[in-house]
Amino acid sequence: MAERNAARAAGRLFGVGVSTYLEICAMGPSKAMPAGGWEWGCVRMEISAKVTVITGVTPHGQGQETSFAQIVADRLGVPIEDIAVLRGDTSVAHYGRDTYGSRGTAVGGTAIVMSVDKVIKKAKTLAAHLFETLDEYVVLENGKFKAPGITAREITWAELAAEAYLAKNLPAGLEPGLEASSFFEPENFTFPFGAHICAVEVDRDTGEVAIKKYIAVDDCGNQINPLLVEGQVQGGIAHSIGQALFEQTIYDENGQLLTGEFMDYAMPRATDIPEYTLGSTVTPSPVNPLGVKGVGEAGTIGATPAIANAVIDALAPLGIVHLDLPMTPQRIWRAMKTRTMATV
Amino acid sequence: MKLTVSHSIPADRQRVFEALCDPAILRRCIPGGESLTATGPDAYEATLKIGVPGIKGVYSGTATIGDKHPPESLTLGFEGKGGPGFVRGSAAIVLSPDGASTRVDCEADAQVGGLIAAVGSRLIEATARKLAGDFFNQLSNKMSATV
Amino acid sequence: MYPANFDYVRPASVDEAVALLKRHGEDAKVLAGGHSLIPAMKLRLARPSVVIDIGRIATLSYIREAGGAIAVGATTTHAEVETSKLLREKCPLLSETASHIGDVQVRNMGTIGGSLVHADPASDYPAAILALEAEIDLVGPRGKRTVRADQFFVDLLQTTIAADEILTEVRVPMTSRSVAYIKTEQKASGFALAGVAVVASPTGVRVGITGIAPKPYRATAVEQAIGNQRTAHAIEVAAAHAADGVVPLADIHASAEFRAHLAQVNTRRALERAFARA
Repeated sequence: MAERNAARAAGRLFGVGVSTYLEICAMGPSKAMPAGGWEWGCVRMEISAKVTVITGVTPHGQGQETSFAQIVADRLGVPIEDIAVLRGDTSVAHYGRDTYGSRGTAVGGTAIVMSVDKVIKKAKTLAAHLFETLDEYVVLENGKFKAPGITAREITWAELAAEAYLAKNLPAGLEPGLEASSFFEPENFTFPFGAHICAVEVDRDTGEVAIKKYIAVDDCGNQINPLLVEGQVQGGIAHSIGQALFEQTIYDENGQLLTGEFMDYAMPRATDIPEYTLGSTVTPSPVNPLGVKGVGEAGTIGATPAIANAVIDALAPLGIVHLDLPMTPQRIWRAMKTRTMATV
Repeated sequence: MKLTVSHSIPADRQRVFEALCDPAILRRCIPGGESLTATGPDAYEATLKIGVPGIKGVYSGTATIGDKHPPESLTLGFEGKGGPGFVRGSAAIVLSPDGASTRVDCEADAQVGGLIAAVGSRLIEATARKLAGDFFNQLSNKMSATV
Repeated sequence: MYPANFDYVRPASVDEAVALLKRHGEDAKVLAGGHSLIPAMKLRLARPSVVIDIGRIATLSYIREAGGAIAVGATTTHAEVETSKLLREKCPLLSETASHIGDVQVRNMGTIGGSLVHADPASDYPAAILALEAEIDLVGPRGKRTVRADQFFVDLLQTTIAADEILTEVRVPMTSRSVAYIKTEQKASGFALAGVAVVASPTGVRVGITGIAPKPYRATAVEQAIGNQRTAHAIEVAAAHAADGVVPLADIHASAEFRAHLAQVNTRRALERAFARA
């Protein structure tokens, strides 16, 4: 702000914009969705002691191939390299509601968690049988089954999987195999929130906008993989820079598309992106056992108004209170043209 | 797209007006004109190869001349279609005396669509202006040659 | 889209290339760096039946001193012009201008000859070429001819080159450091909405402008207005003439009015920078 006031005193157009947002994510309870809001997931401990995870979600850059493997590795105590996450093939994942509305991990990840927990429950029953004790005395610790106080023996996933598939010594009523699938029907949406702040300078002569500083603090609940979270926020802000400042699909009065090529439709590029300062708070969601809220849209929701507000703030000394998006240099110049700088 | 061009032709209004209605002259003045045949009174079919060097397209189309008020004004309607797109519109042409010459003021209203509009919109107005300029330059040359 | 079908030939020399052009006429296009031609072919706006690739003719790529000027071969890439020690020292305007073309990938492939012959009204080199009063060599079946920069650009996307000629060399003078190229980019393509090149010397100023009009032009009204003056006021007064005598282009990216304004702003900035570097 000190920088802004000093710039204004020097006659420069410098502005700061703030945006706080609350969004509705993790689509969603089926009653509120047009065609089902659940998600499906399957987890299978193979006879090889490697794990196959199948999800109805199809990540295309969001990174659930990594975060789902992390969740399963954590809960099973299995090395992450031993986990394969299958997705995006309807002959493998027959049903799914896919990625949108920041639901991939919140809804899809929970279906995976439900399936993992079913597998662990069945494994404990088999381990208890092998330990010759009751289910409730068996624990899973660091990928090994133990019955503390009952026996010193430990059973690895490899041993348990062999027992489960060779099926020579199963308790009565227990099916062979170690796999489970689940449909997670969420009871509610989740509500991520955040605050973004942007500082810009507007060139008085050309109307060009330069982003001087960008700060974002977002709350997406628990973060399974902070690097993926940061990537999502960075990408979202980049898209907002385009939306706020130069992306525009133009049709003429006859409905003819005029921006039919990226030579005419301006996309944000690496050189348009400033250094971000990103932070987060963590308020776990009560809606799913992972406590995650989703973060696919946070960047785009917080950033566009923050940038737009910053440009309007920069132009405020000229009495400008509104500009349509995108705030292109020509639009800004036209708004500035008829006004003179009021005394600060 | 709205386009206004003005040009001076070294001939009197009557002769310029007649030239604008004469297919024999038009055929030689239209830039890239490959064929021009009359299909009726004041109606023509034409094939043009136009564009800018390296990016020319073949267009076939029709033109009609109407609202004739010799020697002051006329309206030209046109429609053309080719690989790169289509164009249709009309031009209001007004002739005013300017000494021994005639000043031709042309106000055109054209709709351009298809590929050239979707990927080449930034050059359409400049190209249209250039083609109009080429046409009037050719007409000037023809008319001063026959003086 | 894929380009329409075409035949591809790679001549080993300029003479061979000229013979091919003579044989095929308007059906052929010359390929150098390909960054103007290939996009047009992929959109099928250009449909040459024969593509003549001169990009590997080694004798066309060079930057060297020649008789008090610097000669640049036609297939020299923008990246080579940008980084050339010789040009940076002795004709810095050309290197500076090249550094603004497109992006790194485009500069690695695009050539000065190809760019000049394509003559996009928003390309960068023409402003510098005009301000430098460069000379351009064209070679055809009738031999070699030299054309001055101000004779080279004829109209929108049109130069004086004949259908059977090839641009072989551009010659630029040696100048002081008192030069500048200031450009406002069209955000999507990186082409110039307004690009102004200035060469200043004790005797006067030369100003070349691209992006504003159907063809690039010398802003002679600015040159005459500034004369030998160097004050801030004189610069502002002179720069106001930047769009005199031209009908600025208008398109979805900038109105004629905005272009005229940018021409004035960038002329002022280019003059300021060139004078500051003296």
